[in-house]
Amino acid sequence: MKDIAKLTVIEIINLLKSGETSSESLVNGYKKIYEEKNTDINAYLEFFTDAIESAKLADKKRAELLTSGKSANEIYVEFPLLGVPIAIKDNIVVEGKVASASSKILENYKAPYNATVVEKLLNAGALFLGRLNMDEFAMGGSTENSAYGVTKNPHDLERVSGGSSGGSAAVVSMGGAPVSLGSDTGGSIRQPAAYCGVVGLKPTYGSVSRHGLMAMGSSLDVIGPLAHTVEDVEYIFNIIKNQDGDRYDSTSLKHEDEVKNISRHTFNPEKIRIGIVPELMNQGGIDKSVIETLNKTIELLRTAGCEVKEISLPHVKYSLAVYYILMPAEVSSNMARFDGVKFGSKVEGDDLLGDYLNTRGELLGKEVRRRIMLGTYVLSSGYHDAYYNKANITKDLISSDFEKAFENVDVVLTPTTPTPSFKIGSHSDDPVQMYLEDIFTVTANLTGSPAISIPAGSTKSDTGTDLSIGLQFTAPHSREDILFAVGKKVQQLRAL
Amino acid sequence: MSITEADVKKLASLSRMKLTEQEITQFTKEIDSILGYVEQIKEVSSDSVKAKLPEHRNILREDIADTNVNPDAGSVLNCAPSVQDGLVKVKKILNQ
Repeated sequence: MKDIAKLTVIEIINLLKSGETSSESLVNGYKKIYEEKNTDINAYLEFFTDAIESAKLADKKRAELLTSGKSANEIYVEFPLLGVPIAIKDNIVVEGKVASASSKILENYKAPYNATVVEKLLNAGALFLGRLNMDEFAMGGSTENSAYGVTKNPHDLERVSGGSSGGSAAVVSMGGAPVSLGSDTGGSIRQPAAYCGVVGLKPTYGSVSRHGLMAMGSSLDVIGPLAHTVEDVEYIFNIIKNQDGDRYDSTSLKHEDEVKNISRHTFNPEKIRIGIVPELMNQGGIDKSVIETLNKTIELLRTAGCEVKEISLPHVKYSLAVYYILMPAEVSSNMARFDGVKFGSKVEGDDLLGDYLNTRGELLGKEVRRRIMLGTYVLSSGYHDAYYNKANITKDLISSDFEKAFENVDVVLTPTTPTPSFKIGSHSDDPVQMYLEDIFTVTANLTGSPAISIPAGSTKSDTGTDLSIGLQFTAPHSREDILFAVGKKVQQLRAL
Repeated sequence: MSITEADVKKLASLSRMKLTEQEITQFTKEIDSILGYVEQIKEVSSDSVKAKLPEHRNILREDIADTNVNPDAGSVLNCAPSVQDGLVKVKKILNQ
């Protein structure tokens, strides 16, 4: 059998189908990697002690179904993830497990219910290996804002894994799980995927229910998978997508309906039309290795029959500014629920106001408090028009730039990040410098488009380590199928 | 400086967070630099676009009473830091 650290979900399913391995032996394998590597990397906040029990139950269920006369293929049609291990970001709730969002305020919070995605994965037969480190409440781009320590990059332990889903990217990269779930509000799946050399999908806004995901920017948040391959990410997306009966997340979409509505976008997989944006590449601050990787990939795609066109997205340069107004505005209202009264931890004060001031002042980290205050500022009277309303107008202008572009191209190609992973601590004194790492990713959250980060190259660091470089493809709403087609093409071309 | 330490104190108080003097100084500097960056949206020409509320605003579902819900009231109450007689307990807010 192939090295467990590199096994894909599709390969695992085939091994389980053929009986070459069992879920129990897989979980033991991942546990061993966790024990060997997690002290250094810190991807897992907790490896569930009952994962092995869940694996045994899955093995038993598979055996029973086989005995009852079902074929292995039939079993995996009914339970497409039976006995497949998966790890999840710590802001997605699993009943009976701690969900801390890497914050002190939820250090001992045990979730009383399952997120919709968790429910869907359990129904498909998946088992959970553990919960993964992140920036506190998903606010950050390096996991340096976790109350439980930074997640280091498995390719270079002096560097960050990215964030906020740093644990979700690092766990796949280090081989501690074949696939993970993350959440993406401004790039939190794609940026760490790029830094760690894995595939990360930010689905269309609303295509995956947010019920059970701790809210950060409710008009921007989406849950998505991170894995070794595009095929794996596609497989998991097809299981977690769709509504929860319109019951808990009223913005969630019926995927098939959405696709039908926008099917006017005709797409020929033999001749994918790729838009590139010269004005974005000329803005400065983009590492030479990233530009080289982009140009090399463009050439590969051209020779493989793709049509590469230069397009203009005149308002996209304002995306980051718009994002750092709208996101904190939503953060400031979403974070109001952490008051030390209804759930989570509490620091006593002299009176009720003192309880609030102490609990929020002492148990929320600096980045979270910074964004709450920034959001309170941009929403306050006198500034609301200049910031919040103007940002919403600009957001609409950005969306119409993309709508126009998608009349002529199927996907837009950019780097995922302007640089490869940076050294731990190097950006921590300068929030704007840290935010600039999101410059290519925030746009898809503002427009609601699906976007994927694909490993496309690497560069040598000053200490001789190999730093991964990711490229990002963005497609029209609900057209994840185009992202998977072009992503597979990049994978094939790189393997040649 | 577009934002002052007094502004930050006010924001901290509005958002119910106790800050140290040192934190106030630091947050003032950082929030000022972020506001300096986001200022650039002022140059966006929006003459052609009428100021409007976001398209996806207050999307609500029907509020249906349902007693057969997961989690039930008991397990939700268990999440609260302080509970008495099946109720969430807070300090009194009125004198007398």
